[in-house]
Amino acid sequence: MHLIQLRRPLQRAAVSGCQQLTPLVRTSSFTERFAKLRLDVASGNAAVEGRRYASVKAQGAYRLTNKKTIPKKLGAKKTGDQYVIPGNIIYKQRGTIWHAGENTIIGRDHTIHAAVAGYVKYYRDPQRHPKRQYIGVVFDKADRLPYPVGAPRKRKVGLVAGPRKEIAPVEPTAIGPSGIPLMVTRHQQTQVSETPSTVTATATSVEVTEPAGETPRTFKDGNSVIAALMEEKLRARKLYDAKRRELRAKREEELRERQGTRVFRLQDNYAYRETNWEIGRLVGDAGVVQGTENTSSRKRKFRNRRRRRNTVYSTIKQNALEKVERRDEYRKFVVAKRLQRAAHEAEIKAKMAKGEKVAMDGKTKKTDGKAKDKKVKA
Amino acid sequence: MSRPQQVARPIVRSLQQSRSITVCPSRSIAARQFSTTANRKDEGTTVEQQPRASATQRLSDTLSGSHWTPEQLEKLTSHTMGSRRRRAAIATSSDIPFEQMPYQCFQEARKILNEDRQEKIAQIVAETEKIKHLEAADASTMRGGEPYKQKRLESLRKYVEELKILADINDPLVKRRFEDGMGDMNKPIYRYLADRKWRSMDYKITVQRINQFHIVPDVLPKFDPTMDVKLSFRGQPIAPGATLNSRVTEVAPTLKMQVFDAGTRLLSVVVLDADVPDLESDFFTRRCHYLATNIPWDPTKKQLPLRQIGTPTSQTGGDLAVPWLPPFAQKGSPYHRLAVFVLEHNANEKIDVTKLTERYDGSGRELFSLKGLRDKFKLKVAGFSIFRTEWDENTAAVMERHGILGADVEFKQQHFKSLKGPRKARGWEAKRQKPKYRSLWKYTKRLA
Amino acid sequence: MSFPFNLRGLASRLLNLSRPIQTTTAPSASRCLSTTSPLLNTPKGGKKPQSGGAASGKKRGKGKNAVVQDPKIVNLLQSLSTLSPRRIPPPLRMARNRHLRHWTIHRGWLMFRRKQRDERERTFMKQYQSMSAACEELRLTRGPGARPEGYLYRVAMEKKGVYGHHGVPIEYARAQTDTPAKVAWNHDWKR
Repeated sequence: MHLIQLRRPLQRAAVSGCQQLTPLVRTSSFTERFAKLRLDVASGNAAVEGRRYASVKAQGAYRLTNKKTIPKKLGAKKTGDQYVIPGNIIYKQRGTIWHAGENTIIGRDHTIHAAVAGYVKYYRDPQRHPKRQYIGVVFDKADRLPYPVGAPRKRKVGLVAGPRKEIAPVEPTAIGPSGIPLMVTRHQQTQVSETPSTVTATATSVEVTEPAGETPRTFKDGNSVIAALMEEKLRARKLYDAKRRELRAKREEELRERQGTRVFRLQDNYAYRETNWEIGRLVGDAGVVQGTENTSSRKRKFRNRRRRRNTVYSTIKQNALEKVERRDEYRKFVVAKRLQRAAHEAEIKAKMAKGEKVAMDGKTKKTDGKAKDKKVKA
Repeated sequence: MSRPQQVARPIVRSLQQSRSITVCPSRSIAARQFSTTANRKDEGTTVEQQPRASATQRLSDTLSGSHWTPEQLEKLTSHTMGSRRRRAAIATSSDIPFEQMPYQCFQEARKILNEDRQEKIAQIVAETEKIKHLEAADASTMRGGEPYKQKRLESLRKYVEELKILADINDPLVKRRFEDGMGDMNKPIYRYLADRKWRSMDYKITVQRINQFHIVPDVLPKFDPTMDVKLSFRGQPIAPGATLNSRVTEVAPTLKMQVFDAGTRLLSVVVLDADVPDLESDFFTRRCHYLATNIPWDPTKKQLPLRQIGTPTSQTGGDLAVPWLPPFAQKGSPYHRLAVFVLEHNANEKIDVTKLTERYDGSGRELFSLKGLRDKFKLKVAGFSIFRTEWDENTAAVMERHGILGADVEFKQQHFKSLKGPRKARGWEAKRQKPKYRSLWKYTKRLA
Repeated sequence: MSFPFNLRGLASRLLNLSRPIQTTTAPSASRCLSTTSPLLNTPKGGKKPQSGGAASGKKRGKGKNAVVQDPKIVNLLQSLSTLSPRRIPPPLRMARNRHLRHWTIHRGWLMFRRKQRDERERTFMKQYQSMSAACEELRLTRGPGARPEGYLYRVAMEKKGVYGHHGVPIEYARAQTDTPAKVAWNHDWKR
């Protein structure tokens, strides 16, 4: 083979030299002509460029590993029926060439680990999946996987009994056992805004509106009464609005403060991180942010309203009944009193009449009659 | 479920209307007229003749089976409650029952549905006639003989049941009564609706629990629930599969059970722990926590308080075979699945309780097999519910109170020795421990 | 006549024009105080919302007091805004009796449709069966004169030239609809 390879450029050179003997452009010197016939191997190779390469690697290229990449060392680490303990790596792979079967765990990089101590089994389970191949671990070497359908699972306890120890409750500390703080609070520069001024403005407006309500009014006719009522209503509304505005401003202020203050807590992996709920609260409170208005259900709202209404109505009714009762009582009392008084007067009159009959003349009889009339009127 | 007030509103309305009519009959008719008055006037007169007491009686009769207290009932019937608008509406609208509400489209729809119902009823009558005829016929004259006749009868009866459901399924009042929980479970339509409701969600959840907690291969090889079983401990309903505190589970739960097929049957209730760790064999075993049998049950019954079974004051009947043992999990053991099974007796045959007691009480609780029980006494597993238990702060006290040993034991994970041999120390320091590097020992030895 | 009309139109147009301007220059009181609502209204890639709503309408230099909102917050707000009631229509809400009536009507309608459908299918079935019976009768009749049995049937089944020579029924020349036009083909139509 080598021979042929060597020979080929020679032939090529010879052929090209012969062709050059009858060119259009005549080469002048003899030496130049012979220069064409020279056995130049390198130039001959260039002529046959791209024809054939070595199909067998030379210089131990088969034995030497590629030094530019790190070997991934994939593949089976345990064979079938080999004993494994929990955590042993059974198979390393890219993607799921093998799936995790009985008593095995698949890792983040699809490595298959043993979950129990036992014997490795490589198997297929057409009931679970027609095409997948699984790796499982069984407790008994003689067992075959997959287990028959409907048979109880084989599970080992894998526990050791010991005396029970009481664990003292851990007290919360600022610094963790590793000596670094559990929580870091970072204050960002809070946004400077005109909200304080608006707050004061609302406050002044409240102050302005309040004394206006106390001015005495003269009620002359129905219109003025209605006007007064309307004004009162408007005033109340204004007050209410101002109060709400103030509240909202306060809430905004709080929110801004919250957005400026970030609390980072120590995680298990020694990284500081904000909690998810705190991140969520950065946007605002429930009800402030759109989409979070309905904190409670509609039915619940109705239920509350109904309850409130029922209590209010029941009190009103009770009050009314009590009032009626009181009035009745009073009326009875008044009637009784009146009757008593009348009786008393009649008694006195009777007594007086008796005394007068003895002493007085006809004149007194007239007055007596008048008194009787009066009594009747009363 | 809707609130009681909402539910009772139409009834209250009709009642209040009757009262208002008696007070001022002229106004009530004049104020709000929906349609032709002729039949409504008749109604008014009939209502007028009825005294108020009877109306209240009617209401309390309809609500007697429900959970309203007398005070609530009083409130529902009072005529001064609500907004002014509501009171006015009640006072002026007439006493029209729901199905006679004068909405044209509604009435047209009712007409169509009613026609269909009449058709269905006619069909039912025809089919029953057919059944009667077939029952009277001699089986020997038929080509298939007696088995054919029985099969035919069965399919005919099934068809009649189907027709019964179809006849009532479009009735708004039936729907309303079912939603209020006032349906008569002896009637096929309400049983059908209840079954449909159960299968829409609760059944699915139950099946999911059966699968995800591996009840099916572990306790039974195959199982499909056919009745609704809900658990409640100390009056609190429990979601299936919830992990409960051992103090809560100290007393036996109340089962809320609903069967969807007609007739009385006998039931057995089993509560078993499917995860009892057995360290000797290193496998999990099962323990019976409760077993009651011969409980008569029909679709109208709702609640079964397990703690009352076997006591003389028990209202549900049934015999207690194995009393309640509070579920417990020793510290460190994985959660225990406490499965509640309801089993149906074969052909309503009673089971001898003494046999059950001597078999499963005491030491018989351990290594309990539901499959064995089912096969020995020819039972059919019908209902299922589950809760879980773990070691918690109350478990020790509960175990002590009930004389259960093992509260002082704590389980820990078994340690496995590494399969690799011991390895020589490696690294810069390890290498320089030799006397050759004596000069460096101050750096390599006794490192703090 | 047209003059005041035009004026009115102009005025209305002016008013319409002025409305958005007003909102941009002087936002309402409720807008002023919330930082969240202007945030939602900012267009993509536009300028970042200003702090403290009162002066939010005024233009400011981007380099100076412009407060850069946390992208985390912006993201959260955007995702929350999809839940806003403007985007999700409320469910159909009815009181008990109303809902029951609605349900009854719905069931009635379904029943009506089913009855209609069944009736129609039954009619079709009857028609088909009677036609097939007639054909069978025809097949078994001995034809006119000396024609053999089944001649009439064969002739009747022939469909050649029913719609003209190599013709297709006009119905098949257009898309089939449930509500066909009264006039099948407008022959006078010209482009």
